[in-house]
Amino acid sequence: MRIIVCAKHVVDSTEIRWDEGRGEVMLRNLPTKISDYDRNALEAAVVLKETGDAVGLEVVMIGGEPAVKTLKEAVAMGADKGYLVEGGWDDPFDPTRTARALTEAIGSLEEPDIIMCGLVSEDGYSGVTGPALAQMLDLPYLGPVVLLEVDAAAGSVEAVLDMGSVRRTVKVPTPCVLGIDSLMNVPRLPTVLQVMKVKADRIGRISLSSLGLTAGAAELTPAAELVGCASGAVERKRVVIEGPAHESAVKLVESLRQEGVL
Amino acid sequence: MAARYVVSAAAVSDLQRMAQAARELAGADGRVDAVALAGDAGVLAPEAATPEEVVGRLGRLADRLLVYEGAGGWLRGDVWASALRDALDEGAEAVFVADSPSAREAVGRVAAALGSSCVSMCDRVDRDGDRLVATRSIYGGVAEGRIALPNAPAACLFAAGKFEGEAGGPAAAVERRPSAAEPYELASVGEEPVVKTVDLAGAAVVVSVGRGFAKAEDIELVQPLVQALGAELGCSRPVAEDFKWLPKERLVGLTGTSVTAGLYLALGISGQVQHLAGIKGARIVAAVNSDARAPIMRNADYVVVGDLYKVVPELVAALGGSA
Amino acid sequence: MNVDYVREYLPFLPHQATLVVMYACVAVVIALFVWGFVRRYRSYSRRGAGLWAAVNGTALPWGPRVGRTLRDVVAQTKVRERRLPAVLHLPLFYGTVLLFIGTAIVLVNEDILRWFGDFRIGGLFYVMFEAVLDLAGLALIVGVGIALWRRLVTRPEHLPPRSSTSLVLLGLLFMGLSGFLLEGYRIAAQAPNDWASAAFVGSAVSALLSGWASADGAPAAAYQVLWWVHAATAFTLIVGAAWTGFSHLFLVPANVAGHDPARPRTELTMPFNLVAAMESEEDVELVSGTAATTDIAPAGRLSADACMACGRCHQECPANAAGRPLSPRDLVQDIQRSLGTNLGATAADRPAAGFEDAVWSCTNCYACEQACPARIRHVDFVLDFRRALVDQNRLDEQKLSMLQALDRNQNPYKLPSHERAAWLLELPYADEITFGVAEPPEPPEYLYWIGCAAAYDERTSAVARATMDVLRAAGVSFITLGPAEPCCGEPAKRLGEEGRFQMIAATAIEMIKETGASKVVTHCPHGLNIFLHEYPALGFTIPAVHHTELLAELIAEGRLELAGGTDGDRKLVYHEPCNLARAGRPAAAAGVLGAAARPPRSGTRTFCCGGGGANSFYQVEQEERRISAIRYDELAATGAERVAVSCPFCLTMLRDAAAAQGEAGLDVVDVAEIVRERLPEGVRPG
Repeated sequence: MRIIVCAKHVVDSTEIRWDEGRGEVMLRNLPTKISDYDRNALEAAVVLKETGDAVGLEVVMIGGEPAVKTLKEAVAMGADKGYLVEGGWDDPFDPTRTARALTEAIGSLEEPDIIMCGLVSEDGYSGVTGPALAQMLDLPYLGPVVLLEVDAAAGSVEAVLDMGSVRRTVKVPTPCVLGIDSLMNVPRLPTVLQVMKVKADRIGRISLSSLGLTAGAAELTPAAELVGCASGAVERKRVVIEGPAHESAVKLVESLRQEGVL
Repeated sequence: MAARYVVSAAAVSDLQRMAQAARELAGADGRVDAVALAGDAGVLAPEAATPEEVVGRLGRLADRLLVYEGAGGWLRGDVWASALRDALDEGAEAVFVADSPSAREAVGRVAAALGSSCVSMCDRVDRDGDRLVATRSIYGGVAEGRIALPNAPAACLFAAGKFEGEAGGPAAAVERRPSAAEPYELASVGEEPVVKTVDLAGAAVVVSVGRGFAKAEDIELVQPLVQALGAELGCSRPVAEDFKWLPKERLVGLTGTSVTAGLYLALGISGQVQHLAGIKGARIVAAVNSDARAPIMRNADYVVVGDLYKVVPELVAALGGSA
Repeated sequence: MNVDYVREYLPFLPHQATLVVMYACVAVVIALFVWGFVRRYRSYSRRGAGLWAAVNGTALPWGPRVGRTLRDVVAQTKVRERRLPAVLHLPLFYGTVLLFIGTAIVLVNEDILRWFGDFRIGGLFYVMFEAVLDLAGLALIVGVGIALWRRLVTRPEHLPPRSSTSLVLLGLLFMGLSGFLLEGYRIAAQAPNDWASAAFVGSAVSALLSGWASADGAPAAAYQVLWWVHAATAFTLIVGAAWTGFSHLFLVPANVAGHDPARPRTELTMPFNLVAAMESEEDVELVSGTAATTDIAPAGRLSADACMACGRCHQECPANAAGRPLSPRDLVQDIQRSLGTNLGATAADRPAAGFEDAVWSCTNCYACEQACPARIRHVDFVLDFRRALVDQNRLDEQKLSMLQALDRNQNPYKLPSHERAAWLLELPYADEITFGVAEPPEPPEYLYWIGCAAAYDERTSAVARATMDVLRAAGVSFITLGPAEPCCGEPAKRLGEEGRFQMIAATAIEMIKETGASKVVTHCPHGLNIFLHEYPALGFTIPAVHHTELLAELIAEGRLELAGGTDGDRKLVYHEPCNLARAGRPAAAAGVLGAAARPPRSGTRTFCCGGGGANSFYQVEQEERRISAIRYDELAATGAERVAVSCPFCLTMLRDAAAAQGEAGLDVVDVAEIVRERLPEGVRPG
C-alpha cells in the first residue's frame, strides 16, 4: 500500500504570545516544528511501513525554505520521500484553501491508497482540512482514528473512531483519507543525527504555480480571512486575599458567596 | 430576500444553541431551518427518540425541522454533509453546526463542495456590512480573532458552549425528506460505548490541582473540598502528563478540556498559557498559590496567597464542615 | 646459625622422572595460560579493530599511567578504601605474589641459571628467603581464610557466591596449607638444623610431624603424593588465572594502565563531533551509542572483563538502594558474560534493549566508579546504551517531550521561553547585570550562568538572587545572559541525544563568548561539568568555577566579610553534590559554612539526591523508596536543623523529601543563601 501523509509546518503553539506593544500575535523568530497531530499521523504511517503493510511512504508539506528542515524531520521519522509544496501562505484560517493546494499536489504524485493527516492542526485547530481534502478527492474519510488495521491484499482499512460517547469500528475500501487522533500513538522523535542523514535527494519540490495555482488564482483566494484580533486574555478582578490561612479562607468563601457561585 | 440560515448539531442542546445564534442574526424576517438526520433507531442528529421531541425543544427558535430519513444505523459525516447540502440548495447565508467529530466531516465536505467560507471554533458570528464575521479563539487561546466569511453559505463550526435561553413559542414545522444514497462504502463493524466518569466541560464547579502538591497522595486532601462544593476534580498538565497522578480525562487546558463552570478553583497551579486557555469560559476563577508572582494570580478574580496545605482544610471548615 | 646451607631441589622425589613430568605439565600449563589470554584479547576486538590499535592511536602520557598502575597494584590504593576487604586482600595478594616470586626464583635458579654456574640458593639469602616465604604463606592462609569466611559463611548481599571464585580461593588455601605440610615434613625428615628456625611456620609444623617423618620409607610416599597434588593445584590455578575471574590479577592493572588518569570522573564520552562532521568533505558514518554489547569499544570490553564482581559499586549505588532495577555490578558482569571469556560463558550478543530498565534508573552519580578498585567506568556503559536506545527511538512519552521542550522552549520544563527568568527583570539592578542591556566600560570578569532551574523554578530563583546579591556585595564584576540564556544542554547529553546536545551547546557557547567574560561561574554543578568537560571539545576555552568555590575565594581574599558564623544558628548539615564531590573538587563550601555537620556518607562517598542523569525530567517508576528520602533520612539523623546544599537538583529533591515529612521537615537552603544571611547588616541588600 502506498501512503501519503500531509504534515504541516507550524510555529510552536507553546511559544506564541500576545504582543501588547504592537497589538498583535507575536509569531516572528519563534521555533517551528511539525504540527503535533500530524506527527501522530506520521507515526501511524511509519508503523505500517515497519510491519510491511505499507510499501511506499511520502510526506507532503506546504511551505517555503524554512519548512525544509521540518520536512526533513518528518522524512527522518521513516518516510521514503518528502515533497515541499511551494507557493503557499502562512495564515492558518482558511482550511479549504489548504485542502485545494493539497489536492492538486497529491494529484501530481503517484496515486496513494491511504492519505493520512492529523485530526487538527496545532495553529488553526479547525479539524476540517482532512474532510475537505477527502471531498475534493472524492474519497471516503474516517476520523478521529485511534486504532488502525490495514489489509493490503484486500485493499481495505479498518479503523476505530473515537466519537466521544462511543468508539466505533468502521471498515472502508482504499483509497481513503484518515484523520489521526493524538490518542493513537506516541510519535517517535528522530534524533538530530537521523535528520542530518536525510539527504537532499529525498526532498522533492512541487510548485503550486506549475499546477496551475498561481498567486492570483481563484482557488487560492482565501475564503476566510483574519480581519482583526485582540488579546485572548480575559480581564479578571485580581482581588488579592492575604493573611493567615483561616482568615483568608473565610474571606474567600464570603466573596464567592457574594458572587453567587456557591 | 430575507436571510436564511441552516443549523444542525449532534445533540439537542447544541441544536438549540445553533438555532438561537441563527435566530439572532436572522431576526424576525429571516428563516431558520434546522436539519436532522433520522435513521433506523430514532433521530441520529440531534440524538433524540423522535423528530417531535426535537421540535418540542426547539420551539420558535427554528422555522422548520428538515428531517432526512433513512440515514442508516449510525451518524455518518458524509450522509450528514449530503443532507446539509440539500438543505442549503434553497440558498442560505450560513450553516451553523456545533462542533463534534462527525460535524467536522460534514462541514468540511459541505465547504469544499460549495466553495464556501469555512471557520471552526466559533464563539459567535456577527454581521459586518454585507458579510458575516466570526469571532474565534486563535493560536491556542493567545488571541481572539475576527474572521471574515465572504463566500456564502458560510460554514461555521461552533465551539462548545451552554445553551442559555428559552425555547418557548410555537413549535417548528416538520418536513420529511429522503436522505441521499450513501456516497461511500463504509461499514460499521462494531461499536463500544465509552463510559465517561469525568465531566469537566459540563460541571458547575471545578476544583483543579497542580504542581503545588508535593506528591500524588496529597491530592486526597482535596476530596473533602470537592465534596463540599459538589465539584468535579480537574488538574493541570504536569499532574496529568508528567507525573501521571490523575488520568488525562481530568486535564483542563488547551490539550484537555475547556470548562464552562461558574466557579473554577485552581490549587497550586501556576497558570501557564495552555491552562489559562481552558479556563476562559469560567465565570469566576479563584486561585490558591504560595507564589504571588505566578501567572494565575493575574488571571484570576480572587487570589489567596498562601500555603495550600493550610488553606484547603480551612476552606472546608469555612464552607460548613467536612463532607 | 649455620648459614652455609644450600637449598636442596626436589627432595624425596625421583629427580629425573619428576623433572620430565613437571616440565611437560608446565609446558601444557603455559600453553593453556597463553591461549586463555589470547582468547581474551581477541574478544576485545570490535569490528576488526583490536585493543592495541584502539589504544595505540590515542595520546598516551605513560608516566602518570604507569605511576598510577603501580600505586594501585603495589600499594593496593583502591582496595584499601574498604576496611574488611583490605584486611583480607592485602595478605592474600602479597602472600600469593611473594610465594609465586619465590617459586619463580627457584625455577629460574634450577632451570636457567645452573647452566651458567652454581647459583644455587644458599647462605644468608636462603635464610631470608625461607623466612619471607613462610610469612607470605601465613598471610595467604589468613587472607584466604577471611575471604572464604566472608563468601561462604557471612554472605553479604553485594557479594553473591561464585563457584569459580570459591574454588580458586580453596585452591589457594590448599596451596598454603599443603605448602606448610610439605615444608614441615622436609624439615622434620632432614633432621633439625639451625637454619630451620628461619622457616618458622615450617619448623612449627615439623615439630608435629617429627615422630612420623623420616628420610625414607612410607611417609616419603605421602610426601610425594602431597607434592604432586600441590603441583597439580598450582598448575590448575595458573590456568585458572587466565580462564576465570582470577584473571583480574592481570586485567585490573591492564585496565588501569589503559585509562587516561587525566580524565576526570565526571567527564562523559563524545561519540562524534557534529560540526566537524558537517564541515568535513568526507561522508563519515556517525554512530551514537552501543546497540548491543558487541558494539562496545575494545577498551570498554577489557574494562568489563577486569570486573571481579566485588560488589562495591552495588553497595554504593543509590538506585540500587532505592530498589530500582539497576545494579552496576550486574551491568558490568552481564557485559563480561557476553564476551564469553570465562569458563562457562559463551560469547553472546546482548542488545541495548535488554539493559533498558537498568540504564534509565541510573542517576549518573559516579558512586560506582568512585568505589571500583578496577577503575571501571560504569557510567560510560550506561550512556552508550542510552544513546542506542535513543537512536532506536525507544523513548517513552516523558523523555520525548523533554527533548522536544529543549527544541521548542529552550528549557526542559516545557515552559515558554518568554517567561524565562522573568523575575530577573524585577530586580533593582537588572539593567546593570543583563547582557545586551548593561553597558559596562570593560568586559565583565565573570559570566554568571543562571541555568534553567533558577530561571523557571521559584524556589531555585532565590538561590540565583542570593548569589548575585553576594557577588555584588563583594564587588565582583559579572554579567548574566538573563532571559536570553539558553539551556546548557545537559539533559540532552545525559539522555543520550548527543546531536541535540551539540546543537544546543553551539548556541550557548556562542552566546557566552559574546559577553566577553573571561570566566564562568554557576551555582549548578551539572552545568559546571558541562562547561568544564563537554564544551571544550566544541570550541569552548573559558574556565568555569562553582559559586561555592568563588565564595570561598572571596572570603579568603577578604573581599567578603561575614558577620560571624553563627546566626543564633540553626545547626547545619552539608549535603555535598555528587557532581562536585565525585569530581574530586574539594568541598569549598565546607570552608564557607564553617561549623556544619557531615552525614556518614560525605566527601567522595556522598550519597546522591536522586536528581541526576536527567532523572528529574522523567519518572522512574520501579522503585521501593525514593532516593531523596533515603538521603534525607540520613541527613536528618545527624540532628541538624537545616540542610545546606549547593546544587539546584539537590535543593529540589531534598525539599520534596522534606515536604513529605510535613511540619517536621527540615529547611533546605543553598550555601549562597546562608552566606547572604551572614552578610553584615549594612552590606546585605534588601
